[in-house]
Amino acid sequence: MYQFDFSFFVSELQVAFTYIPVTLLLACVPMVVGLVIGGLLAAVRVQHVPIASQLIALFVLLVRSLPIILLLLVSYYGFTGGFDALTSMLDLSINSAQVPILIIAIVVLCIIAIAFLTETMRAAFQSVDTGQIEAARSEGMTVGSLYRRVIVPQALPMAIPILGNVLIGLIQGSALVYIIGVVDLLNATKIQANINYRYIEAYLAAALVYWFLCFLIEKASDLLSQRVNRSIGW
Amino acid sequence: MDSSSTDFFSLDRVVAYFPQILSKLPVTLNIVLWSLALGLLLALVIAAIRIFKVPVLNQLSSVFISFTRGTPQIVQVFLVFYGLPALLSPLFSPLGVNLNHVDATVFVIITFALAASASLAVMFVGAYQAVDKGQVEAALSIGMMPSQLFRRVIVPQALVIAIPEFGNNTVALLKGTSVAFTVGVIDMLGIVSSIGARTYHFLEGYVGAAIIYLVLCLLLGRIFALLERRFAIYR
Repeated sequence: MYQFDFSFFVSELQVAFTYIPVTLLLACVPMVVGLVIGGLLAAVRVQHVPIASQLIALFVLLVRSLPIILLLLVSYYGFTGGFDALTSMLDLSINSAQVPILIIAIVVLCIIAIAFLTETMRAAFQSVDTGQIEAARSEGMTVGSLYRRVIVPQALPMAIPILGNVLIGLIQGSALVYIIGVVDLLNATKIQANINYRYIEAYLAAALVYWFLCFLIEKASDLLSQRVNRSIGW
Repeated sequence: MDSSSTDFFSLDRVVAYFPQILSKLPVTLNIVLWSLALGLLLALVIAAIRIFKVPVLNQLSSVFISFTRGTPQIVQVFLVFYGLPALLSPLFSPLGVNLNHVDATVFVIITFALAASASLAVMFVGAYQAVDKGQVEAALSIGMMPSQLFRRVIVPQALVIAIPEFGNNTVALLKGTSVAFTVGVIDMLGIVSSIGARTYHFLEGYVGAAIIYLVLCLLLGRIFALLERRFAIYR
């Protein structure tokens, strides 16, 4: 019978809790970057800007078709290899080991977030009543103020539940960064597990803390969307 | 300055490693198909529990679905891989079966079957609820038995409604199972690790694997789009 080490489990819970900020950093920075850049790219798609629109569609398809772990590995080996090749060609005395892996991980997660949020925001923009868009355009509104004053204020509240899901996806996706050596919530508990040869306690603790985080985000997005919908009067 | 540092990527090596990686495609497909088949069976049971609101089991299914949706799949894989043998060994060791020697693929399949069953169950319940209630009343008023109603009215329509989400689930499953190599399964990414350990070239292998995943995802997307169009007439 397996002897569950309860005191180690509690210490792993503490480790997991202290690494929540790292996991939040890995998820929230891409979320914000993805919302801004993804929103812009979505507008380009909705406005059918030639060439740019097709290139964005290709980028979204490419990123969404690849597993996150593979995107992390390709980016890690591509970046470190390319960086070292470049610096040795230029005879610089720096190498890729001096670049924090956390930054590589955040950049990769940003790219993933941009791809997913471009799709999310495109659907949200398209759900805004076309009559209003025509009215705004016939009033002589520019495309910029059309988005700022008509489309985004209506699309964003509608998209809150989906945005909550994207953030949850990013939190869960960020657990994969241990594969390139970033010490996040999962990796911190994993390191202790390897030292103590106790894996069940470690992964159970990590799972519970992730569950808690995702539960909070889900509740927050429910509350936010209820409040926003009430204030808009839907 | 050594030449090895500038030689970090070559298309020749992508081509050279590609056949070895492609030869592990059946390992990936095996995991996906078994997870999907077992996940579908379990999802039907869970969906029935939720639709008929079976006491206790209904609450348990809520916790199960919340857990599988609220935790990263990599953590689920680790939990099953390390936890299941410890949990079940009192049952299996009297039979002379050492669960620590069971192939890692089995644990990966169990993990993804469980995870898939949760999302597929949610999909089934959603599709069931999406069938027009007027039709249910009409079928009952002309004297259909509940089992006939279920078989002839609800299931055929619910299946069609579920096609797009089933497609999304299958693609997510294909992408998700790529973490199998982290517990030692020699799938496409697993073989890249061993090629890399031998040659010190990882990037080309991962690029090759990315090409295969890309083609598979596009292919699956196309198949489900065709299915959706084919069955649209039944909506």
